[in-house]
Amino acid sequence: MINRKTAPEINNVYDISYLLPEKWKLSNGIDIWGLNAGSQELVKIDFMFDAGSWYQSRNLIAGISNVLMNQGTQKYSAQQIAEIFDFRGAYLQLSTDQQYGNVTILTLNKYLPEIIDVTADVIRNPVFPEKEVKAQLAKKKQHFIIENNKVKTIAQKKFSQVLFGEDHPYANTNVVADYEILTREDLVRFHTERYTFENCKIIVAGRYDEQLKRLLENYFGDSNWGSKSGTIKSPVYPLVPSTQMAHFFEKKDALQSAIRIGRHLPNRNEADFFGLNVLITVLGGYFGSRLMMNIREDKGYTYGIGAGMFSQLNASYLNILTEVGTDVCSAALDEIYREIDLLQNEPVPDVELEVVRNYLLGETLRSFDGIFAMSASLKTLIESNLNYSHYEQFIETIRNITPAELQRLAQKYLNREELFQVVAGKI
Amino acid sequence: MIDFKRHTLDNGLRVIAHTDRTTPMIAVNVAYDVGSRDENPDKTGFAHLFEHLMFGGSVNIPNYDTPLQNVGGDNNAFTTNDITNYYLTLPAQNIETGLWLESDRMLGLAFSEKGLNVQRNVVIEEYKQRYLNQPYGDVYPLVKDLAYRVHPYRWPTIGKDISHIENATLNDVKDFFYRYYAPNNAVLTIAGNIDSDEAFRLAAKWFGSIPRRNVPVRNLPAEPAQEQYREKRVARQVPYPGVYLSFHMYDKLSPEYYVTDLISDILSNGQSSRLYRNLVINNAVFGELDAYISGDNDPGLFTVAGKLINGVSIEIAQAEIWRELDKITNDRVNADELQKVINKVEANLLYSEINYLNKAISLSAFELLGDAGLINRQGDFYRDVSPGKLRDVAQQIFRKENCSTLLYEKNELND
Repeated sequence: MINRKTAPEINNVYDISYLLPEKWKLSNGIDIWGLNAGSQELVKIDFMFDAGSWYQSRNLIAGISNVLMNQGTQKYSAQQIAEIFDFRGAYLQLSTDQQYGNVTILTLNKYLPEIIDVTADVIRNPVFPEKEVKAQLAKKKQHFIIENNKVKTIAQKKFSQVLFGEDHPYANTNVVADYEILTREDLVRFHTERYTFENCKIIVAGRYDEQLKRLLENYFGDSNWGSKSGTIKSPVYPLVPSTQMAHFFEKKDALQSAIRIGRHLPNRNEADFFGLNVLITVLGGYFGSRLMMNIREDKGYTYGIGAGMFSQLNASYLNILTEVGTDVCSAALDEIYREIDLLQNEPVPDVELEVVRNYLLGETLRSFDGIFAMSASLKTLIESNLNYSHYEQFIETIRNITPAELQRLAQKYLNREELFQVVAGKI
Repeated sequence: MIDFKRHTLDNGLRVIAHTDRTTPMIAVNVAYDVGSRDENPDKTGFAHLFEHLMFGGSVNIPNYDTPLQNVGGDNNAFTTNDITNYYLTLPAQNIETGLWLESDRMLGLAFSEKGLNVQRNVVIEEYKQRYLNQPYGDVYPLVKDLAYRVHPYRWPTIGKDISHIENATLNDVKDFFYRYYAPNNAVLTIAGNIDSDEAFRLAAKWFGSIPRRNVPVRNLPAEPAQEQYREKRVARQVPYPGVYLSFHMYDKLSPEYYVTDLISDILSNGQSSRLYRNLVINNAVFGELDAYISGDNDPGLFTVAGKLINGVSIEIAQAEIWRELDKITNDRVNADELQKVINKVEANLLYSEINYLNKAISLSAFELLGDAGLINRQGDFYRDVSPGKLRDVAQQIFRKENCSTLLYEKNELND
């Protein structure tokens, strides 16, 4: 008979190894990082531009100019671009965050030449045709209005405004009218200024060879797509957090209320960053976390609750997020603060910390497993101008941090009176 | 091509092993052959509620999650109309911890009133979060209720009514477990950094002693062919009216199933697709418009779902959808357009082979459907589709009397 009462022997000594990227430059100076790995004949390429909302003069310009780049170029119509990708089962993904405008392609290697050809035209020569701009804006506006009916969207938007101040680009202050005043000229101007070779970085992941390098050089290596108006200095924005700590936004017909609680925290390049990551995992970063165990698994107030540390180039913050039944909203808030107080008042027991260490080591192993995960981990480093020692440091902290150190961090960073609280729905 | 081996234990548990040496991890996937279609009409939402209870500890292990997290593992589960699927991933050297946990909860659960109470509340909050507190949240239950009269697909996985969840008793729950959670009603797939002999040896070690149980033979009422057009209007507080057309289609083992998948791709997969080009961009009638198949094992639904833009009437919107459906019914698609969607499916199949967990989940699902080997034949099923076959299937499905339409109007009163 096997013994089912005790756990099988475990082995948590593993070598978290990762492939270091190959680095090269195109003739015009564009930096490329390559992760040559995987067993399928395919490749994913990320083109990153300093073209996030940080650089826009009005709401939506960065995001909309990014997603409309594939709506027609000098050589191809929107329809043709879509056909070229769809016919080859390739994907063109356009996305922006606060810092970067991204163009990402995923393709089988056999189609690489055609896909690079059209991608280069999408990046370098989009024409933003009036008809497509209009249709896309109507579509985005509709999506925006639908999303704004959700308590989680209302809470998250307000939370970003409370944390950063309404004039800061990390705050989401989009309103319906923004979709109506945006013009084609806004998009063209932004694209011309921001999507230049000086602002570009490239990450390649998958199986590639000299052909890929030649293609990238041929299509992106020249200097004819530089900034027309000289180098534009990155704007500087002060953080202006709200002076009021608790905010409430009523939605009369709500059955659940969305809660956001958080504050600014040290960023990736600061000493306390790694320990805080472990602390916030204990609080709400995995299924066995204290918030989940208490508010979902003991009280049944919610389908899910989590806490995370969100880090961007110019800011890092704590975000505790959940949607709870309106009848138990106050009780849920009390329990969240009770868990926070507990972290300040008592050291995390060794047994619990051991579980968190092992869970986080497993997560780290996953973050380098497979080309998509490897490339995402590399992108995080590049976005914040860091190198792999960042992950080494994190692994070191996971393995060695003490309960006393976690308590010190909780006492320093999780004071109740310093936490912003946003609730949307009903209390 | 996904290489795998199959072996059945004496207690009837089917075990599938797939080796992938590119990952340091292993996925353990257990799919039980029970879904919301197996529920009693008066006790719906049970399969899914039960999925929650499977994390509340088992006969020998008080807590499922902690030992798994303690070896760097992660897990989740999902319930569909057809199956209940549990998966975990962990570093390869700790595989036995995963099998210990999964086998113990197949052996028996630690049923408790407290656990049931909490998970009832969690599921009710899930119900609110997904269906009641979202604009358009009740579309899916309404569509199913309209399209099905007899077959249990007529209720959603989360349950027909919150009261069914509220009234679930511990006895109901125990009964459900011993009826369906049995080695002879499950498929175990072990995929990742492990060779198949070792996978089979460990599967036998941990699962071999679990007794076989009496599983009822599935005998579901077939949905009779729909003979009359159905339409339902509701008004809700939403920003835009919605139109939802659902058509009965084929079961997952029919070759026609793959044809309908390609039809949905031609209509709405990607920015070059017909509905997107014609009715969202060129002639802007909809802000969003999609066509998709429900993906069910028994005959499911082919649905066209759209949200209107301001100023368009619900009648015009419907007429425009029918015009596109008539086109695909009357005119052969040209070879290039068909080739495009086949290429896309083939590329997607290749992309999906990158991830060991995806492969584990798919292998189990195909085995429950009848044969894990189907995973490697999908490409052929799609490649076999011709323009003529595609038109034949479209003609079979897109008939007015086979259609159930939900008109989701905007409630002006609450505006």
